[in-house]
Amino acid sequence: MELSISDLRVCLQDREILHGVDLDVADGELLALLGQSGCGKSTLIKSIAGLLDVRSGEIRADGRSLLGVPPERRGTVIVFQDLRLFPHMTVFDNIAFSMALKKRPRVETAQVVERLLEDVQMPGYGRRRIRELSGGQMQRVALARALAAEPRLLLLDEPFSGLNEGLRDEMGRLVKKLHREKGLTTVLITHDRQEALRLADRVALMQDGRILQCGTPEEIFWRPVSREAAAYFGRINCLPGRAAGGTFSCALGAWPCALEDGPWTAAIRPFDMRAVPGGSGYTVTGIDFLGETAELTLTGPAGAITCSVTAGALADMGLAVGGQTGLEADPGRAVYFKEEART
Amino acid sequence: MRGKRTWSGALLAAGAAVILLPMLVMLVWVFTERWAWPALWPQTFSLRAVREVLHRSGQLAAVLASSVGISLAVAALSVLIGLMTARAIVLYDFPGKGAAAFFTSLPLMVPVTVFAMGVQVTFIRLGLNNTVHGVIVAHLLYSLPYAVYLLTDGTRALGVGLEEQARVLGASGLGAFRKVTLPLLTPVLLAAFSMAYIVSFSQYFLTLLLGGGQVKTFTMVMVPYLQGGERNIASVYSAIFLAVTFLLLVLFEKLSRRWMRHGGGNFYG
Amino acid sequence: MRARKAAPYLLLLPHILLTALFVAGLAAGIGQSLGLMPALGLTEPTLDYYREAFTRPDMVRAVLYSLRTAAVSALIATAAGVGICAVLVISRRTHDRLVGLVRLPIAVPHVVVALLTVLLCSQNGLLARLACLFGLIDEQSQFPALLYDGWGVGVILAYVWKETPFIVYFVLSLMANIDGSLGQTAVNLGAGPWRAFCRVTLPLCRDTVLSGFLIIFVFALGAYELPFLLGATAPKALPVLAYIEYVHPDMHHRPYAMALNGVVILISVLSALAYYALMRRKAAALRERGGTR
Repeated sequence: MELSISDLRVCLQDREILHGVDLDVADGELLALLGQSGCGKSTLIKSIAGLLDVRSGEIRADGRSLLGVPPERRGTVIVFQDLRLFPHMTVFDNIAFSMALKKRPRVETAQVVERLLEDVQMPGYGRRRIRELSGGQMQRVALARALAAEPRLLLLDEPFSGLNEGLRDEMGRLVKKLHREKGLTTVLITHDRQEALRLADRVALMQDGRILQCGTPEEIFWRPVSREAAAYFGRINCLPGRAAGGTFSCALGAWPCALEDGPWTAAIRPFDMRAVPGGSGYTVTGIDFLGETAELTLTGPAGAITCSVTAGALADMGLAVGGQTGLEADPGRAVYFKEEART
Repeated sequence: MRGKRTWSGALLAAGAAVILLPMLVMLVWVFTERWAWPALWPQTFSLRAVREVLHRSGQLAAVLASSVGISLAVAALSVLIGLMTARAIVLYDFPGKGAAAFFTSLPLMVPVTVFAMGVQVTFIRLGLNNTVHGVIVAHLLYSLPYAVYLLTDGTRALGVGLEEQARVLGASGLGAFRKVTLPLLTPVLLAAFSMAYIVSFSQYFLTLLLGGGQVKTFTMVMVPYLQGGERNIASVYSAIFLAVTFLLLVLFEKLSRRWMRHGGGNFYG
Repeated sequence: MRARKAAPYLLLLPHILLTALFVAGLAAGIGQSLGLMPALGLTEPTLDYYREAFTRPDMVRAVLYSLRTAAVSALIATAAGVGICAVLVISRRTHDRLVGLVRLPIAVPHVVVALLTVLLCSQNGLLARLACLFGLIDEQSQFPALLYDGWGVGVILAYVWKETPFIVYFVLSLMANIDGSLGQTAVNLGAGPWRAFCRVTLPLCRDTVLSGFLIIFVFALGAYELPFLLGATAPKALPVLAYIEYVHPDMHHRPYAMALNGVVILISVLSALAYYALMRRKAAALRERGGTR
């Protein structure tokens, strides 16, 4: 299903939560909706599924408006964060819920449920009760139940947030695999940027009830449209400077650019900064050892700059807090944001 | 720790004794013929009182039927209307919600005597006075607050999440309610039913005034014997009616327990 | 979308109809207490009947008698009920099988409670016989007249027997929940179990306890059975006197009944507002603790 949302406004208890959301999801796509908690992600998917009243705007599926269509006839199935398995039913009955509503023959239902249980790697669990399941198993059942409803659009509302890291990765891979195999259109809500980048075809960044930017993971990562969008993927160094005659100059030096003249800020990620041992101008004011990588804080003319290095490189450099070093940037990786002209 | 256990155990036992002793004394009175001062135990037992009550078994059966029938009807209506009211108040935001919540508990705060004497004129005008319907309506007003109280708590605890899930899986609004909420709420429904039944079954004044002697319930029959000092006959009536009540309550309790143990209903096989 | 807006009102419809009937009954009662009885040609509102209710000796004594028995029985029942809950919660016995017995008195109709009180507390009841056995008294007449007395001791005892279990039933599960979480935190922070209960659990249950108190107080204030069956000929309880005036063959007595009821309504409405405020606070507190997403 192709989903198209335009200028969507939604209120909860008289407070506007979504302030004009525009979003398109292509047929067969896996879109990650990325944003901090409270930014309106859940409100957005509940609106898509028809569980909330829309104040204004439009939601279209394959060109047809969904507004006024009751939730059960939209084909938009949500897997909620709290899973919402029916506690009074067995695993089998949970998964078969939508098929029973459609009065499918029992034999067919049994086959489909068995196949779905295999798909989510829980064969033979049909007769179990919900309270006998572990957290990871409940998540699989919730996913299988949603798939059994043959969704035109599958909406996943942070369903893995309660799991430990290993299980999260496993569930993520499972979702991506099932998404591909079944040719689903999927929207995955998450606040974990790694998860979004790894799983999604495209990522939509959401903040304060608006979509900040939407694009492929690479676009979102390398070409953020704003400082907020850039900041979402971890720390970024902002270097105020000026462009003049095709050259950008800032505290870290000058390099060619294709910008119109005026004040600009260059944003450069920590991995595109390079400490130069033996050089000078910057003092090491902090070293955060993170295992495979480390973050150096270098203070000098450009202010406090964060610089990421691999653990091996750090060992080779032999830097210590208080030591002197030089600093270089990789200008090719810089993203520029126009500053309001100051007089 | 041990001292505290025995201490609280003694309190529990004392409480149980205070509750049970009067009822046991009543049971003894059922079979008592002569119990002269100051003996602690009756001198003569007989089945005279029991026989006297059973002798008019036609009357007993009629009173039993109308009494239990009225209370069952009141309980069923309380659960139905109570559930509708609870859902409106818990699941929706609407103008007038505060007033609705206020009026659900109002009868708890207005004694039956005040209401009954005030409403009788209206009842006469509506043709409800001295009728079974009228008594049911009057009992309903006083059973409903308890049902609403229990069902509001239950509905709030269950929340709207599972119904939302059922909707997005393809269930209609009514279907989601029927397949998810209703089975999960069954223990609460049974509790509300029991409570409403008890409240209705205990009514005396409402039935006295608005039933006008036409509607015979257990309390109507029992009070004259009590006033006349016929302790053994009053005890026989009380024992029979309490037995019926407790039987019903135990039945509801058993149903509810079974439901909980099985984790609710099973729809598909 | 329109169906959705109308839905809560449709759900409330039967309740609204019943409420209308209820309020109509109350309004008629209040109207009559103000001397408005068009059927008898009384159309001028007056406060005379209320004035008499507060001056006619039997009426004043009825009001005081009812207020006293209701307040004393409700206070004793509430205190005893909370005390029992406290012991049960602190000793972790809230799921003891015996606790289920509290539902027994709740299910016993008041007329049967009256019978039980007679069997136990009258001058030839079981208590008097026990007193005789232990040599405290020799004659029936030496046993204090608990029933049909001016103080309504028998009425109060009967209410306490019936309403204490109600308070336990009304409060216990909430109290056990709160103590299970917050009370144990307090114990963990170094408070003794009783101290934790008094400082943390009890204050958090206060609103529920108060609303339970209001329910049984108002009930005892306006209930007919027990004072009718166990009370003295004088003073009469308010509802008993009101009923006598109500069924008086001379219809002109009816406003007196309604004025007595008006006094009860006044107390009831104040209690209802207090109860409603307590329930709202409780609902708000529950929402807060539940958190919102």
